[in-house]
Amino acid sequence: MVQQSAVEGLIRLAKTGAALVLLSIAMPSASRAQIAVVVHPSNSLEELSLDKLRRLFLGQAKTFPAGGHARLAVLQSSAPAFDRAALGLQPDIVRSRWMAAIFRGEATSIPTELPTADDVKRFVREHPDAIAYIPASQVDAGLKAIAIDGHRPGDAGYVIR
Amino acid sequence: MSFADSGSVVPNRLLRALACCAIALAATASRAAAQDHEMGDGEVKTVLHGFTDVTYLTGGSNTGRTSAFGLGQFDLYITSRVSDRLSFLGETVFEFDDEAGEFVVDVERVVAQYALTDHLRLDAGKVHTPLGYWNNAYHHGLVMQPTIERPQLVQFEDDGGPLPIHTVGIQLSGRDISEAHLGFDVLLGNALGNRPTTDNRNEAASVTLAVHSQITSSLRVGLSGYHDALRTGTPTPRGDSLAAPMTQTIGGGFLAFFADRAEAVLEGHAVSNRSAGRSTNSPNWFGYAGVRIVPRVVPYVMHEDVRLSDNDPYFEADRFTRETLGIRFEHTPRSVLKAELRSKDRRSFDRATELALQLALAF
Repeated sequence: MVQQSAVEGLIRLAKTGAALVLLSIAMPSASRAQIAVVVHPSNSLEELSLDKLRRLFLGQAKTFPAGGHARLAVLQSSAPAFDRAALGLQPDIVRSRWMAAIFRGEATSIPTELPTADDVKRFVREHPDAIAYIPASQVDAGLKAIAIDGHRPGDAGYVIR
Repeated sequence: MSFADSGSVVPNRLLRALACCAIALAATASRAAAQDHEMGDGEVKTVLHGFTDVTYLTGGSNTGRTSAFGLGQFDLYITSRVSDRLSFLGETVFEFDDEAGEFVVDVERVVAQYALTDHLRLDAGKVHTPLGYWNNAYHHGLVMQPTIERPQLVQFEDDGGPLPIHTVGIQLSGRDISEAHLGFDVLLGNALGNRPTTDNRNEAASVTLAVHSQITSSLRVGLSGYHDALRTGTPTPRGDSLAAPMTQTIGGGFLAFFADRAEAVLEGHAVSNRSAGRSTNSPNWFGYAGVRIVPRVVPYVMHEDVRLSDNDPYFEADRFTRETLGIRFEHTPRSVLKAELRSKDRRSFDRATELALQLALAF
């Protein structure tokens, strides 16, 4: 009897442990906040491909798909997650790419780096040609969040998180 | 210009300046996201960047030297946005000149850039000749270069490289054109052997054409060509002068792939020199590949093959091959440590193996 309850206890313990392991694996992606790519409300842009987004934020492209200069700004606290999820690169590599672009004379400066989401919102409101990113939960009526590869923040297929 | 022109006091000043910069480097290198040094009155923004490096190279049999440390180039790089469309780019290198036996100053780039559109740019001044990939992607800032040394094919002219690395002239460049993400460069410049002044033996006769495509954000491919006409008496890399007029034509191509984990460059150029009815052809290439095994560490390999033709009217005949096995530790984007084991074989020399270590910094 004692042996049977000990075995049942071990099984329960193993199940609980397995559940915790699965939970810990699932938690990081579930808990990561989505990052919205935002433009000025007057910008006609509704969607960007992930490829075009990468080219813009790596300094390989300077214009929106329909034309017009794109002025970049980044939120410092979201930059590491954005670099990994949207650009597919480690943050240090992104910085190295910008250093190289400036060295080649293909860029004059890195994107404007801003410390808070409110600073990014202010920047986008003040610059009709701006494109930037902030946590999706911070997007308000003064900004337009665009779709990436057909998915908007909140969609299941939205990859920038 | 050499510092000797200004008297013997100046090298000491330079050494003191270098010492100060070294101290400043030590402070800035520890900051992962060191800031650019910005000056300006609100309308003109000038940013000062800098690069330097220290290398340790082993000696031993067949290397022709003893083990020693070497101070690399001390590079000051300035970008200035003069107006919305006009910008300036200047690059000055301080380095020790073995022949002169002292530190010298080289003005490596002085370029006025005018953005005609977001896709088109006009440059005037001393520029990097747009041949291939490596020469424009990496130059003096070794912190950005994947390897310790430049491949011999794109080595600087005064270090024995066969290509015209810099040109003084005017250049029209295009980038990110059409859905194919095409780019181009058309450079009209001074001929080989010309000084960067209007008082020269040769006409401004060099033409460089380059086309490339950024196929994806990681993959770039391109082709380039160069043509130059030199008069009798033009100095050659051998140290003598051309006995007859010569034309030089260079054709080449590259593939460059840089992703999060893997990186590779394959580049080749053939140099054809024609003089007094005789033509020679020198094919050269190199290949580089690296894999990022953890976020900051990249082991890599490189193979180089440079063949300068016998009886060439301009080059000294040579055959140079080198294999490199290296590892790069990217402490930050602005401080990189590299170690390489190299084996090189050069005509008239026995095969030499050497170990090199380098600390490269940007500030």
